Amino acid sequence: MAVSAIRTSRLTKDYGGGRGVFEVELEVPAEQVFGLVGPNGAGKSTLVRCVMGMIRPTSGSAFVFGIDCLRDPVDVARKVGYLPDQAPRFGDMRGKEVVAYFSGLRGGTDPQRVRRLVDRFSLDLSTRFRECSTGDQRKLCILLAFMHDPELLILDEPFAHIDEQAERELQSLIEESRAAGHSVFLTDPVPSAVEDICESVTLLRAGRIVQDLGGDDLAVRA
Amino acid sequence: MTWLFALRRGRWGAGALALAAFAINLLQAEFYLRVYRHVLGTPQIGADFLLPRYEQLGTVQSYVQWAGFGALALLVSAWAVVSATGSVRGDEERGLVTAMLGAGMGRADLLLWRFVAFATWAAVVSASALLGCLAGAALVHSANDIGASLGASVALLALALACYSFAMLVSQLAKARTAMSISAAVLLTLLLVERLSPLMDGLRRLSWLSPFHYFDSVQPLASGGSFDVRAVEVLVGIALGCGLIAAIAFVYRDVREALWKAPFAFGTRAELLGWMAGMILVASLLLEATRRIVGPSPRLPSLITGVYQFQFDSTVLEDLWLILAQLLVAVFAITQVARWAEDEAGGRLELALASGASRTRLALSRAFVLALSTFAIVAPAGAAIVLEAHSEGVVVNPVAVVASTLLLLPLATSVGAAGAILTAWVPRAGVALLAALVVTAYFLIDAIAVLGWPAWTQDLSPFHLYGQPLTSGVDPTRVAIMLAFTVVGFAVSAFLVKKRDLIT
Repeated sequence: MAVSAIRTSRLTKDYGGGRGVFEVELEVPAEQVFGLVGPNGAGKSTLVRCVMGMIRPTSGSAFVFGIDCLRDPVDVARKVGYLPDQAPRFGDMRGKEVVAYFSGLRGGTDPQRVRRLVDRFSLDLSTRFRECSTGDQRKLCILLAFMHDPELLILDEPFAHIDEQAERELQSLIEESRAAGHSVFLTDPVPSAVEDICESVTLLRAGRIVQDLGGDDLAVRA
Repeated sequence: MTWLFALRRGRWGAGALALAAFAINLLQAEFYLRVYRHVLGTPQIGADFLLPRYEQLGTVQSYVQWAGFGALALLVSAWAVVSATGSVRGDEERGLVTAMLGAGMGRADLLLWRFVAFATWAAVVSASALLGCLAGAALVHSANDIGASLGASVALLALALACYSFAMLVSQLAKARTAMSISAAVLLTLLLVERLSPLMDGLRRLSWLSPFHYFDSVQPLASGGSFDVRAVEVLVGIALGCGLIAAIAFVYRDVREALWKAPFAFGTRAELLGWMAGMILVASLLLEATRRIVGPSPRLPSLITGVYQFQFDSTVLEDLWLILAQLLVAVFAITQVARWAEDEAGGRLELALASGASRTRLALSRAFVLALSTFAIVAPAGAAIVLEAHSEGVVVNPVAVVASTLLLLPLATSVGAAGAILTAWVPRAGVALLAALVVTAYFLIDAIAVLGWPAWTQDLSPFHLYGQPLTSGVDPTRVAIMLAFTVVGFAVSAFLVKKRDLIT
C-alpha cells in the first residue's frame, strides 16, 4: 500500500477564540491532486503551515510520505515544492538571483526545466522583484515551487493574483505533475476553481473538516 | 549561498558604518592635536560620559582609543541591534524566512549563516576602524602600535558580535518592532550601568552584566592599558551563548510569532509609554549621578559659593542628562520617520491619500504629531528633574530645566523634517540616510574643528543649535533656525512627495 502523500492525525492548532484548526484527520493519497477548500479564515493556511513545519501544532501529528513534519521539517521540505499564500518580498533582487539562490538551496535544478517554466509564464528574470507586478511576483514563486520537480506540491491559494493565461499554465503544470506520478495538494477559497483539476476535495470550515468529496461529488457548496 | 544572500542584504549598512569607522578614527588623531591637547585636564566628568572612562589621555593613541573606538562602540552596538532584528524578524515578516525554510533550510542553519554574514561585515567595519586609526596616526606623524590598534579593533568586533547575538535572542521572544525596542533599551541600560558604575556602588556590583564593561577593559592603545584577553573571551562567549539559545528558541517557535506572548498589544501607545517611562528612568538616574558628582548637601550659604554651586550643578546635569536626552530624542524622531516610511511601503499612505487627505495636510499632521509625542515623552522627564533636583540637593534653575526640556521639541521636529525630506526624495533609503545624517551631525562639531570649516557650519547640526540652555540660556536665534527648518523641511517634503510616484 502506497504511503500517503500527507496524513494528519487529530491535528490541532488552537490560537484561542475559536481560531485555528481542530482535530483534523486528513489523508492525501499519493499520486493524486487533492484540494482543500473553505472560506477565508477557515484554517487552510494554518493547516498547510503545520504540515510545512512553519508552526507547531498544539496537539496531533502530520506526516509527509511517512516523515514526521514536526521532527523532520527539513526532510519534508526537501520532498516538497511549496507555494505560500503570500509571496515573499525579495526586494531589489532580480528574478534570476532569486532562482539561483533557491536552486542552490535545493542542491541544484535542471536549467532547461527552469527555462521552460520561465517561457511558459512569460517571466522576465532580469527585472528586480519589487519592480514586478503582483502577478509576476506570484508567478516567480510558482516557478520556485515547481522548478526542482518535487514529489509533492503544496500550493496555498495558487490561483490568487495571476492572470487567466498563467492560470491555464498552472493547471497544465498540475496535470503534468500528476501524470508524472507526483502528488499535489492545493487550497482555495473558491470550490469551483479546483473542481476541474482535483480528484478529491475536502471542505474545511471554522478549523474542522466538514465534508470529504471525491470523484463526481465535487459540487461543493462552502 | 545563504552567506552571500545574507551578506548582500546587509551591505549598505555595513558599508556606511565602515566608512564612518574609518573617518571617525582618522579625525580623532587630528582633533586631539588641534583641540583636545590644549584643553587637556582632569578626566572628563560628563560631557562624554557615554564614552569609556580613562584616567590618562595624554597621547594621540589614548585619545583615539577613548574617543574613536569609544564612539564606535556605541555605533556598532546600535547597528548590531538593527541588523539582528532586521535580518531575523524583518525577513520573517517579508516572507523570506518562510520561503527559505520551505526550500529545505534548517532553522539553526538559517541563524548560523546570518550570524556568519554579520560577523563578516563586522570584521570589515573593525578593519576600517583599524585603518582609520593607523592613517590618523600617520597623518599627524605620531607613532602607532599596530598590534595595539589591532587589539582595539578585535575588541570592537567582539562587542558587535555580542550585541548582535543578544538582539537575535530577543528577536525570538518578541516581534520585530518590539524586539528592536527591547534590545536597544536593554543595551542602553547596560551602557549606563557601566558608565555610571564609578559613581554608584549598586551599579558597580551590576557592571559585570554589561558587555561594555568588558569592552572598556580592553585598552591596548591607552597609556598603561593592555589587551585584556579574558574580556574579549567573555564577549565572544556572550555572542556564542546568546546565539545558541536563540537557535534553540527559534526551533521551538512558530514562524512570524514570538516565543513570548505579550499580555497586551505593543502598538503605538505602548511604545510611547515605553519611551516616556524610559526617559523618566534615565533622567532620574542621571540626576542621581549628578548629585554624586556635585557632592552632598547642605551647601554653604554664601552668595558667591551659591552662584558657583548653581553653575557647577547645572553644568554637570547638562553634560549628563541633556547630552543623552538630545540623542534619545533624535533617535525617537528617527523611529517616527521610519513609521512614515512604513506607512508608504505598506500601502497605508496610498489609502489615506485616496480618502481625500492632501500631501500638505499629511506633512503638517506628521510635524504636529511628532511635536506632540516628543512633548509626551520629555515633559514627564523634565518634571521629574525639577521635582527631584530640589530634594536631591542639586541646585538648578527650574525655569531653565523647563526651557531646556521644551527646547527638545524643535530638535525632534528638525530631525523629523530632515527625515521627511529624505524619505520623500529617496523613499527606500531615507531612514538609513537620516540615521547617518544624525550621527554625522553629532560628530560635526569635532569635524569642523579639525577640518577648519567656518563656525557657521556648526549651525547645520541640530545638536549645536540646541546649545547649552541650562547653563547659557536659550538662544532665540538658534531656536528660530530650528523652527524655520522644521516648517521649510516639511513643506519641501510635501512638494517632493507630490512630484513622485508612491512606492508600495
